[in-house]
Amino acid sequence: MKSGRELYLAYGCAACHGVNADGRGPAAGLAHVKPRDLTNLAAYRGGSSVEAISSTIAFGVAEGRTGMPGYPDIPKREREAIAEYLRSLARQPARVAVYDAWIRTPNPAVDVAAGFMTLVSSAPEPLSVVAVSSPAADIVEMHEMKSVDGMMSMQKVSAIRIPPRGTAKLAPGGTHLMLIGLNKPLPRQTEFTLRLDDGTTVTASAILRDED
Amino acid sequence: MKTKTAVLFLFLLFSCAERKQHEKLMDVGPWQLVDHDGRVFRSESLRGQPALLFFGYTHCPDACPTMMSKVARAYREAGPDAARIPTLFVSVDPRDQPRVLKEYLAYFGAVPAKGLTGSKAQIDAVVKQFGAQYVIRDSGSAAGPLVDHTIRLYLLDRDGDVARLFDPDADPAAIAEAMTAL
Repeated sequence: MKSGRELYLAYGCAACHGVNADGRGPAAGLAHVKPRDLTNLAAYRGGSSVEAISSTIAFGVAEGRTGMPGYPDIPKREREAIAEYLRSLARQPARVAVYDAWIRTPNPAVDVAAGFMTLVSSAPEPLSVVAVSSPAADIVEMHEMKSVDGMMSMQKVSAIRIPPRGTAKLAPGGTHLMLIGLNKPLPRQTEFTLRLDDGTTVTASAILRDED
Repeated sequence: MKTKTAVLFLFLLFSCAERKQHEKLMDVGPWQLVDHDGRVFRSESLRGQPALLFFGYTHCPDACPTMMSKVARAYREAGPDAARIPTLFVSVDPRDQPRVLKEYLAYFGAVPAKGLTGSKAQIDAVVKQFGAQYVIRDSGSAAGPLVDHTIRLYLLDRDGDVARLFDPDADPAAIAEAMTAL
């Protein structure tokens, strides 16, 4: 038997729900009710257990009146495989908390700024921040400052590691988020979205301030 | 008249004693750059007054703003008398035209700062005279080249020589004390 993902794609679920099951399929705009984001278990109208999802696939939601038709011809085993696959996509609760996030008030002469924060992980394994974005800047990079041969050397890094049940502190003189192409003027509070290597994302609200 | 002579004598004695009080860390010799108004800046123009100096660049995301805020705190600690001591920000980045430097430094209003730049040869010469280093490196960053540079704060004495050197983690109060002692 094909895998749940293969079945999901083979039966055309992605047309409305998208290849990533996030509700953004190419035909999403045609449906009179917005297709559900299936990676959010709370969004399932007919329930999110394997049985419930399997049943929704077979009979649709409210007999198809919401836009989700029934597909009773899909064998039960395949419907369950699709349901298992969808449940595996469900977003995990974030295991990283962000504290004391701030952006150093940028100098008006330049369009870069540095952001700092403390990341606390409750995960038993090491986690890494692998990407960061913010509406405050076109690009957010992760930079690490090191002293090399008596010089301060800034390196762009691809990840910031957080030890198991530990803390990563982004602070002046160490690691920072480099905001490039600032969308000025920056508001007093700016959102950051941090993507972790376990597939989860964390958002943080950073305040604009100067050094202590 | 006698009193005036005595006062003058005491003053000279005192100022000589004061000048000999500190040891020089490094003799620097004369140097020349371009200031943030685009005018030639000669180190001789500093003679007679102490100055702070450090190397950096305006796109420096962390080390330079941190150093600058430390310098600002040192000025606050040192009081209004310290306003006569200029802070010289020497950019080692060719992107930093005088106009950019001026705008950059205007933001640190509490610091009487002057931005300095120059031709690569001029900058290299000054960097060498101060025993500093810098490397402009293609970093793979969207921000463009990153500049590795020495981040130490030089306190120049009245002869333009280095009297004290401060690391980035120096206590602003210690910087303030050294500024007022010169």
